[in-house]
Amino acid sequence: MFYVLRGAVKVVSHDNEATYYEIKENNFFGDVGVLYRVPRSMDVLAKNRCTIAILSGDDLVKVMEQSPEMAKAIGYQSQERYQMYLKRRQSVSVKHTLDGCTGGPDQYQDDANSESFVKRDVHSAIRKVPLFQSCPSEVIHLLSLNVEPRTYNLGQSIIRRGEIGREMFFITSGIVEVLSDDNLKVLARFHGGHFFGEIAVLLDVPRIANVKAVSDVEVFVLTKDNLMAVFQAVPGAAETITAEGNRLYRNWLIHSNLQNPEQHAQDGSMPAVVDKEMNHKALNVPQSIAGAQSEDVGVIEGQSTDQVGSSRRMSQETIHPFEAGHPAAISVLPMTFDEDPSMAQLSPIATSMGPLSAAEPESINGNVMQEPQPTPQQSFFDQSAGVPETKESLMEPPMSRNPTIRGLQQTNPKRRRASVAVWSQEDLMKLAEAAQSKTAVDASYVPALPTTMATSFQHTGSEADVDDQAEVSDRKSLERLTSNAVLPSPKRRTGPATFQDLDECIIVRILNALSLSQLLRARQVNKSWNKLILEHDDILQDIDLSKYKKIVTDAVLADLCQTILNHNRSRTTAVSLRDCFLISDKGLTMLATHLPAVQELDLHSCWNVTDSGFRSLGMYCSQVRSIDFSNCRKLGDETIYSLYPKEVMTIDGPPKEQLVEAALGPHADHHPQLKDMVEPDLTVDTSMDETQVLMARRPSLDTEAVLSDQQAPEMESSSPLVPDIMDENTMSSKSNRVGSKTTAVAVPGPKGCPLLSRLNLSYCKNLTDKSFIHLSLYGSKRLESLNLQRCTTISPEAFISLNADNRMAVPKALVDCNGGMQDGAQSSPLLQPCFPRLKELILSDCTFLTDDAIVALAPNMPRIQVLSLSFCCALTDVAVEAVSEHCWYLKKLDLSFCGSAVSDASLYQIAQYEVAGGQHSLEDLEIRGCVRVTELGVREILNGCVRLKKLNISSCSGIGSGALSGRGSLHGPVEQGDDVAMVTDQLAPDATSLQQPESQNQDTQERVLPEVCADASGSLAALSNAAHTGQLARKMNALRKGKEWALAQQRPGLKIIV
Amino acid sequence: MPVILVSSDGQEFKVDKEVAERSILIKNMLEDVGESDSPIPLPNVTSAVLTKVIEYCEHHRNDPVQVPDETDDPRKRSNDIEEWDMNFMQVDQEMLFEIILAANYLDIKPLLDVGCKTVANIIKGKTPEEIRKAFNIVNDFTPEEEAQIKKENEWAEDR
Repeated sequence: MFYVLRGAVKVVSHDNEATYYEIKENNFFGDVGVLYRVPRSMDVLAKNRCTIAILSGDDLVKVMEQSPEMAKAIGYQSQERYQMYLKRRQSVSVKHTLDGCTGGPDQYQDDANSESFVKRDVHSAIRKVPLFQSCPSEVIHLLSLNVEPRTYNLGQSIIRRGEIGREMFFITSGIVEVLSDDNLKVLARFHGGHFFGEIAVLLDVPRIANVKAVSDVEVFVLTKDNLMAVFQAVPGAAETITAEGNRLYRNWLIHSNLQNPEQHAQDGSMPAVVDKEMNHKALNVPQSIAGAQSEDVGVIEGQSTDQVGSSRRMSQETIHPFEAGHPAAISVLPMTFDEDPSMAQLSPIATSMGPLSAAEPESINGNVMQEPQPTPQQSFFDQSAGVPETKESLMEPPMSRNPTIRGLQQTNPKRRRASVAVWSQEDLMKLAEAAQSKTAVDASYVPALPTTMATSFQHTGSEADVDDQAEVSDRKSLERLTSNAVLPSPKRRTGPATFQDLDECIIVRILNALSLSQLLRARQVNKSWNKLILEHDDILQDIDLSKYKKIVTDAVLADLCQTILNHNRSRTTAVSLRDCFLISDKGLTMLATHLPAVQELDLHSCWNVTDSGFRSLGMYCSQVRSIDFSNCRKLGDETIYSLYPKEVMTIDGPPKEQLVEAALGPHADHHPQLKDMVEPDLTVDTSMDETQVLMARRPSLDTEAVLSDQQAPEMESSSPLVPDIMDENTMSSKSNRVGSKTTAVAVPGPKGCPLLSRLNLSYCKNLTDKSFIHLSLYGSKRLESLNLQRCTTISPEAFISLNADNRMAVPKALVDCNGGMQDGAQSSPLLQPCFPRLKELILSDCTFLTDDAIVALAPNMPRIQVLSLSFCCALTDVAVEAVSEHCWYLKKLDLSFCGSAVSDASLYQIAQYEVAGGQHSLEDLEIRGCVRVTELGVREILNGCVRLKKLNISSCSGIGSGALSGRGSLHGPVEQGDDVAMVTDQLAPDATSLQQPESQNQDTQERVLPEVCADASGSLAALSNAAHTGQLARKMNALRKGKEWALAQQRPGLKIIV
Repeated sequence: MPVILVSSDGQEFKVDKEVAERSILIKNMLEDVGESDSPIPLPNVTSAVLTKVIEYCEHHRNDPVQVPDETDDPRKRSNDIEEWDMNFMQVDQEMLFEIILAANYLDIKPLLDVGCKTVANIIKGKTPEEIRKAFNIVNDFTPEEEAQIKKENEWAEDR
């Protein structure tokens, strides 16, 4: 331990940047480490040259033994310092929990501030508060151990109205303001030495006002528990604080009565008469108040046993700006009377027809004015000042010592409001309204008004009585109120809105805005909330567990199943288990049994679940429409089978598909058989005669046959091919169908997921061709979105099988019937595309995909809108041609890094076929990293695809380097030259044909054409200088060109990324 | 053409039709009545609340009218509140509930939404006991029942 004899040292932060505080001469430091045997908590640097006496730990103990005085002094100070240090270490987490509810950016400032606050000595700060000035140092010590120092910056909010208060504040420095609801009016101003926030703590009511810091403020915070301790330890503190609290709270109650009419007057809605009236009265009042005040003080002085407390109270009284600002608010009654006569005069104005109404209020005035005025004040102080020294009363919660509050607390909050504050307020409003309109007022309620007022006043008066009595009168007055009141609308509420006024549907909305954990916690609030959360149809429709991914285990799922999922199984339609990597087959199976209505399922990266878990989805979740299996590494073919169990698909599909699938029934019972059937065939595929292969291996052939069989009567033109196939298959298929239906009825088990339309299987690397074929057979008809990104284990053969199938199975005649192909004779016959509804297909990273696969696939997805083939490096122009030929509705095409597939020629194809199909549907084209593309190709696209909104040609090194430069191309200048030549050959006729529909642009385009060429040659020249500058120049050039193109096209929506 | 709204306490508010029609109730009313100068009485809304509501509608007068399905689908609703709305909702609890009730009555979905989210934000981070206190809700559970529920939700605590 160190004792500073001369000079000063400073305590600094870790990085030596901030100085927490300085220790000057004749003080000691280092005590914490020695006495508490903890590591040094701070760095201490010498500030200047100083002399320091060092006392070793053992010596210190000895010294302390010898001198108890010193031991005490040192002990206290070090204990305080140590607590402070601990608090500061927790401050970050504490702050977060404290401010968590209110949020806001302030909390970070807070953290910083709490650190700087440490430099202040808590002990001396507490000493500054007058209330504690006379306390022995033991008490101050106790306090300084318990309080939490806090700082607030200018403008920061310390208390918000309506919050639950648990702490009161003692200001050590700075100024705070107490503000009205709207933050417009300053009700009071407190500065160093004052305390505030005691009302909510003592009386267990929500905060009644807003408190803001108007300078940088340092306070220390006393929680309720600590306050009790202070009450016990500090004589007089209890009275002073409770008295102050009670007084302010009463003032507030009354004040809030008046606030509204006052505001009303400010709004100018009250007639000038009232304004004057009020001013007049306000001027008159202070005299009467002066009397009341002196009496008030006298009472305290006379009865209080503790001098400190009462003198403190007096000084408070005199400085208290609350009173200064609102003299009338000092005592309860003068102010109300201030209001009352004005009302008495108002009502005659409003209802000149009823002389009775004018007379009545006055008489009541008289009554009330004389009688209750002294009673509440006196009895209140009797109670609070007379008793408190005894231990028993201290043990009681402080608020119960005050009968007023006790009475209020025992009545329920709504009634309390109704009887004391609100009714009179409401009626004042009515009165103002009546006065304003100056129309004849319904006589029935004006006389009722004074009565109401009177009862509420009597109520305040009688609060000093025995509780029962108070309650009885309370109830009586309430009854009278309700009987007398004539409400303007039956729906109208009886007071300020409370939570209880909200309808169930609003509460449901509120609950729906909570996160899952908050919602679960809210179950504990009360029974009706619990019931809502467990059972209401509109709650928990969406369960997102991805936020809890690290803790969601099978056990958690079991909990969920037993609680929120068990009570209303039909409400939950979306579940996300995204990244919940801990769950296993068991958990998912259990979950699936509780989610019969789920429609969307996100199982991304549930990589511990295997087929046996996923199979449960097919068993129980028959309503599912969308499943994300991405990155479920253990997912295999079995899952796909279970999603589309064959026997079920025969029943649940839409009529057409039903027929189709019906034929497939027999295979369902013994699936392996199908596998066996498929597997060898794939290998044989090329070698065998196509028709035979198909007959043998693809059950779908039967289906097509059956389909045509069923449809034949409806179809006018039946092709010669149909009977052939039918002959071979009808017999078996018909018998099969019967069989399948019986089995389906008999086995209620697996339902499958017949409605599934979105399926994400990306990164499921265990899927084989069998999955794809199964999918194309049983699930393909409804699929709208399929993601097979990086499913590298599916081979091109799976795709190719589609092609063979359709080509052979579909009679040509039916193609024409189903329409679509105008010229379509020799290209692909397209009756029953395998994926009739498919809109989105992601095949990115399927590097294995060959041209043949795409060629086979393209005709099977006529409705495709989004197609991604990025990084399908094996594709060539042929694939692009197939796509552009068949996919007429394509809106988005991603061909990024398909270097060998995309050239100027293929772009021309895209542009060309879009036109040929009569649809320029393409809106978004990505050809990033397609090095063969040049300006010419891009121009083709821009000319051909009139709806294009976005074109990404970044990393296309061929662009901007000049059309014929051929630099860096893998394919050499010759090939590119060919491409370009081809394009330019076709350019002439094409350009004219293209420009026909958009004749407005014609001129512009023709002008641009030579311009682009000139630029190209220019950039070529630039490139020859240096490769490096060339890169840059190319980029610049491309940029400029992009702009030019966009301009030339006169399409403001077009975005070209270069 | 301005529309005149009359609050429950008889105060008249003149607002643009476009602003008033943020309220579906008023919109439908105007459509039913047709062109008319007569003021629209709103007996369930006080002038103080109506002032607030009109302030909101003024600020959001140009917002696109939301498709009903979108706002009703809890999944598509985001839980964050715009900054302006957040400041707008810096009112005491009574006023907050008044605004919610008015928004519900006047059928102003976005305002209702913002209000509900604001209440939800009050609930967030509070213990059940604090929630009860904040809204004057009576705890009607037996200690056993409450403990049971607490146990069921243990896994999600402090998340």
